[in-house]
Amino acid sequence: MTDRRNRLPLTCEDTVGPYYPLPFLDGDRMDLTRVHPGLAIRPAGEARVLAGRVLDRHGALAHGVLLEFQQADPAGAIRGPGGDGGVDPWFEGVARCRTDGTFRLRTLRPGPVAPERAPHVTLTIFSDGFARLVTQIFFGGEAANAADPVLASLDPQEAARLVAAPTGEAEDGAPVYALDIVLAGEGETPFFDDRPEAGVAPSGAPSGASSGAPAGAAA
Amino acid sequence: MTRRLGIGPTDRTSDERTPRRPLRPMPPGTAASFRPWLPQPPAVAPHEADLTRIAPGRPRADGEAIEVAGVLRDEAGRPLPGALLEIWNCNAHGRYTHRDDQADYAIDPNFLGHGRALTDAEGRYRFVTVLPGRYVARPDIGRWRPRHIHISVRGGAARLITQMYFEGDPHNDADPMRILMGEDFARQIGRERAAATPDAARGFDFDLTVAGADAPFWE
Repeated sequence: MTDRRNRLPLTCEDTVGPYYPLPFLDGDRMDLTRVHPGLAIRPAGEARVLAGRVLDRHGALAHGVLLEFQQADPAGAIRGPGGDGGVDPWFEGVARCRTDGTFRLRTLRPGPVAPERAPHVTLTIFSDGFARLVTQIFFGGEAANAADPVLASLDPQEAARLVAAPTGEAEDGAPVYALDIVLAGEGETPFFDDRPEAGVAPSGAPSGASSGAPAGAAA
Repeated sequence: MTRRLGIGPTDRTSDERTPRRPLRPMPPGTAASFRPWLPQPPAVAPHEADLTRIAPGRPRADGEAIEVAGVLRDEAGRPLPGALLEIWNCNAHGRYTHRDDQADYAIDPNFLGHGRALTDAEGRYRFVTVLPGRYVARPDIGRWRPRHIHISVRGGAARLITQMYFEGDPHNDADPMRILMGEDFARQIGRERAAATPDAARGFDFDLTVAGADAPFWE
C-alpha cells in the first residue's frame, strides 16, 4: 500500500454535460443474453429483463443520461483486476446506453459474487448537472435479499428503492423487473461513495465540501 | 477523497438531478462489487485522434487547430497503458455536432466533434482538435461556459469523466464547476506549450490521474 501522502492528486470529476457523443456507444449492448443474434451459442442462464426510468426531482424523465451496467454471470463470477474469474466466456457482463430517461436491459440472473450477497446489477450514472453516481439494483423475490449487506446497510424504506419489482413477462417469457431511479427529491434512490478511502482527503485536496454534498442544492 | 456531485446554484439541471442525500458508505467487503471493470478496449483507428477532419483527406474544420496531449497515471504515479480516452468539444463557433444541441451557433460541416485514442505503453495520449468556442449556457442570467474539452477515461477499473479548461478564459471565474472545485481547478487547466507537430498551431499538456491503486490495467 502506498503512503497516501505520496499520492498524486486526482483529476477532478466533472459533469458529462448534455452532449456525450452517441457514436461512442456503437458496439455497446443492452442485451447480455447473447453475443450476436447470428450465433447458435449463447451464455447459459435464466433470462430476465430489468426495465425502468431515471427521474429528476420533479418526476420528469432525465433525458440524456448515460447508464453503465455491470454484473456477475449466472454462476456469480465477475471480471476484475484479478482476471476473468472463470466468467462464462460468452457473457459480456457490461452494458451501456444513453437514454431519454428509460432503460431496458436484457440480461441473465446474476449469481452471488459472495456467499452473503444477493443477485444484483451495479449501475453507474453520468448526467448533465452532476458527476458520476453509483448504486446497485436488486431483484424482488430473491431470498438472499434479506441478508444482503448492501440492502442491510440502509433503512428498510430506502433499501426497497433498490429492489426492482417483478411486473410480468416479456414476449419470450423472461420475467420483467421494474425500477425507477429517482435522482433527487422525494423517494430519492440511495447512491454510494465508491472511493476506497471515502472521506479521507489526501494531501493537497480541499477539505471544504463534505462527501457527496450536493452543492447545487444549497439554494 | 471527497467527491463533488453537483455543479453549483446557477446550473438548472444540477438542481433537478443532484441527489439531496449524502452518498452512503459501501458496507465492509462489498467494494469489489461496486468497482467498474472494462476488460478490453474497442479497436481504435489512429485517425480517430484527429478531430479536425471528419476522415483522413477531408477538408479541415474551422478555427485554430490545437494539440492536446498528456500522460494518464494512477495515484502512485504509474503510467496506465491501453486505456480508452474519448474526447468531445464544441466547434470554433460554440456549437456541438450532437443532435441534441439546438443552439443558434453555426454548425461546421467539417467538424465531427468527437475522437478516441488509447494510451500508449507509457500512458501517453494525444489528440488534435480545434480550439472550442464559448457559448451561453444560461441566456436568462447571462452565464457563459468557458472554453472546455470533455474527456472520458475507461480502462480496467478506472472510470472518469472530466473537462479540460483554458488559462485566462474570461468566463472561467463565473463557471459553477470552477467555483465548486476551488483551488483544484488549477489541475483542470491545459498548460500551453509550443505544438510538437506541424498539424497544430498551439499545444496543451493535460495529464490525468485516476483512482485505482488496487486496479491493474490490462497491458
